[in-house]
Amino acid sequence: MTRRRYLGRRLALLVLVVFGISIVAFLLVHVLPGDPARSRLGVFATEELVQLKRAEMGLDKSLPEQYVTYMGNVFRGDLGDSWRTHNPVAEDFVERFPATIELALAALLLAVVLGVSLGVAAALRRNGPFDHLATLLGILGISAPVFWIGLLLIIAFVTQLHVLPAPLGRLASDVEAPTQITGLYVVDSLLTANWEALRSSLLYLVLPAVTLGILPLAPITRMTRAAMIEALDSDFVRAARALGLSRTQVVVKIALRNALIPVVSMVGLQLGYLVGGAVLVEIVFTWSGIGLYLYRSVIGLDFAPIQSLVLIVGVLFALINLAVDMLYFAIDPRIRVR
Amino acid sequence: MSANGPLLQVSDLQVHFRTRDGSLEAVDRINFEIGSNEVFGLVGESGSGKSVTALSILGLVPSPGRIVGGDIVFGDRNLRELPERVVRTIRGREIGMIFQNPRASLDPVRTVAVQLSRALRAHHDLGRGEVRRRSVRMLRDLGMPDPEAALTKYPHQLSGGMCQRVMVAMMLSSRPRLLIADEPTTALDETVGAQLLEHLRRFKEEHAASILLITHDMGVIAEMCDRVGVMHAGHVVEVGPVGAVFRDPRHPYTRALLDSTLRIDRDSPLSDIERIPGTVPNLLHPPPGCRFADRCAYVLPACRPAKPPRLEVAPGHHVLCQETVIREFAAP
Amino acid sequence: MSGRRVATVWYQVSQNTLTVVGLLLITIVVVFAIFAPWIAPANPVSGDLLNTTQPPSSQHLMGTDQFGRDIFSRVVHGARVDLAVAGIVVSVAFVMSVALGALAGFAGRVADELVMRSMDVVFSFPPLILAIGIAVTIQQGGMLSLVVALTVIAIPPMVRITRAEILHRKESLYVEAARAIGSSPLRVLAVHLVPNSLPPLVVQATLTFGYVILETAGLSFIGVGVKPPAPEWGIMVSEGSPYVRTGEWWISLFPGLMIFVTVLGFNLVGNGLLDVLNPRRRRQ
Repeated sequence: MTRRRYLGRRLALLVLVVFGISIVAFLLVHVLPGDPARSRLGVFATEELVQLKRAEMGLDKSLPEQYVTYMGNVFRGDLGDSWRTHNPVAEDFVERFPATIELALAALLLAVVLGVSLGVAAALRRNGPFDHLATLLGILGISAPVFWIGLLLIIAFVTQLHVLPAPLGRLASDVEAPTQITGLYVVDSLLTANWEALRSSLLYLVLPAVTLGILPLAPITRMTRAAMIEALDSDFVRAARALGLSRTQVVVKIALRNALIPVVSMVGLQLGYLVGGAVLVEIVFTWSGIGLYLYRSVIGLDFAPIQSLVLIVGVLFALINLAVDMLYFAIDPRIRVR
Repeated sequence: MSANGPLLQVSDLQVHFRTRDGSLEAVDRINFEIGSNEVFGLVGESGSGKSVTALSILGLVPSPGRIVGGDIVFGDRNLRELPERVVRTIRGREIGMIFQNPRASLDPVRTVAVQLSRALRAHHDLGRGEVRRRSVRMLRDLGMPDPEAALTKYPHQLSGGMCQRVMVAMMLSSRPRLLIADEPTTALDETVGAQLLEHLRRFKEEHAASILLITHDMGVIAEMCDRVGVMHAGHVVEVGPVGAVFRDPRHPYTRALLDSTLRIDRDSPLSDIERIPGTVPNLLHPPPGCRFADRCAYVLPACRPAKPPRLEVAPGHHVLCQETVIREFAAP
Repeated sequence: MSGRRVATVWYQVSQNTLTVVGLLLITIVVVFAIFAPWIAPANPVSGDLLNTTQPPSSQHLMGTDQFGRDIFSRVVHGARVDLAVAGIVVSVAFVMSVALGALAGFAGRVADELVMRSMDVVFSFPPLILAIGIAVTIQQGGMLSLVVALTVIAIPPMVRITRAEILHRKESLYVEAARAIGSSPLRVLAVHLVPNSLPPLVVQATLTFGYVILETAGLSFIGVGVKPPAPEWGIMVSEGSPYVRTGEWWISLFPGLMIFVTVLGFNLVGNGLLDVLNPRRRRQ
């Protein structure tokens, strides 16, 4: 009952936010200085052609009318064309999306595994070595520019130690990409038992994933530590110990299980920053995902992809937040209406 | 195991809490014992060290507290000398503990069924069906309405009394020989509290168990206990059979406690003990002599410089007080 | 905050080693910014083409870049650019946040919903992506678009804090008392509510300062922020990045280090203030 009501409220909020996002994206395209017709045709188009395009795009109509047309196009999957690649923006996105997903997932996985372990270790031995390490990492991790960390790692592991390949893409140039299933090279090469591609894709993935993973590592560690300390000091953990349960069972199944609830929402919040960071990391490592695409569009003054990306990423991010909230139902039975 | 010795013997137990300003002597060289099939009560105001004593027995003193001295002999084993691995097998199986706040003591994100199964499987290898049968039976025995349905519930969906029943079921599931109950009725309303006490008594009779009952309610002590220890500021100031202690208290603090219980109306929300004038001394820098001296109506000059001796005023009846005080105060 | 309050806070802050380290780092960067022309040994924008990509030496402390410019001089002058951008952004965001937060917390339900749902919308974008979108749209790069973009993403957290503080204090006794003696609502807001919400906002502003410097560098690195040849740290890292692969590490390393040190300084001070001004957190 209460769940259904909460869900209803949550969905209403989502609709509202998505509407807001579409307005912002629409404004970026239509109201602020800059001519979308020209941006579609490119800087070399004649004024006549631009006028024709304006009429074709409905730019001579009123704003609300334009918004309706715009959203109609968006729903039909028409996000405009990139004059740099000569492709529909939607097509370009679909092509590059898996690379970004692969990078973000790998980074998140690293950050969660490392952050949760470190946070637990810090909470178990307060003021111990791991605790100090966690505090230090926490403050350093949020202070360093992610693109600079990437370059430092390249200096260390590529140009000095020569243990990892140069930051040029997702695979060695002499290795063929695995058969496309998910678009994530590591997953695809696993699924197709393509060990050569797996090895190469992992080698190329390590540095960018570590670089991007540093971003959410600090907050995840900090949150895990705090939640874990609270759980370990709780009455229910004391009661569980009085029952004679093993230390592992108490720490992992009871304390950690409870501590993970706030950590999950933290991870959800980090996704937004992760997408932003991914843009920078992809530039540094020439990782051909959405970020690099965005960068090249910026450099080439190709506006359609940039503005569409704001819309897509905004909506995507709102959906991810919804998913995280839904996940709450699965892991926290106490949730009612907030 | 010696057949007639006490089930639990606590001697010279010392628990300190390390703080920034020094060591806090929460429990200072206390002595008491609990016989088999006996209910032993521990009374005292909050902060007197009752709960810390109870947690010491289980080896669960929270950080920064630490047992720094003394022995805790359970049966024929000194718990302080056993490795954690062994103590763990005693916790829950041979010594159970019921906590003050039942809801907070249950895992908030697991159903009752999971938590009962954890308790049942902590020390015994049981199949799923058996776990379920036993869970239902235990809850029914404890007077839980509709135990089958209760199994599927989370703690936040249950009343305080029901949470208490779940916790008691968990703690009694292995039929411990010693059950520690720390203020078990404080969080409950009167009827539910009375039912719980009745259940504890029945458990004790049926399984020949012993109970360490911590409370600040003298009425509960009178009703439930065979012997009682009175704690004040980290000391057990008087210990003996309930009848003797109640009829003929020998320590001024016990006397004050009993007087205040008899004097006041039962409806007052204050606990009996909180009506005794004065405050517990600062345990960071306790006075060198008797810790009750500043509040004591019978205080003598001799009380302040030296620690009071432990005197046996009658067989099994010990008092931590200067002999002269006891004599003067027993005179009228 | 009264003078005595400031003095107390100052005393408590000075007791924390990390906070003092943070203050020291900020001081160094501020000194760089103010005295840049006197500290920098060379011109930050014109280079010596006979001395390109020289490694650090006694003559060029941090080496030279691909145009033969002295990196140390550029790093020192860069403090001006990055601190100026962050300073403007944080000041504007601060004022606007107080206004919006007060509106949301004090002007009734409709205003509250309007302001807060707008903040939800801004919040639902990954900040860097939105900033890129705004910066690109407004002016195709440049200082003004950078400032606008960064201000937009800096505002929502500060508005939330102001609103929460005002809502929390609206019910407090001294506000009731002020109302009882007939103070006008606006007076209550200006004299009692806003000043008392400032401490947590100051903490947030300090942390935002560091964050804005990071994002300034990030946007410039991407090419939508400050434009070359301005000695901005993010641009310098970006310009040096191709050379990293060929072993000329110093071009990117030192400007990045400056960003890191500056942001670290603000984060250390922000955390120190948080501990002092937020008693709930302090207890933990």
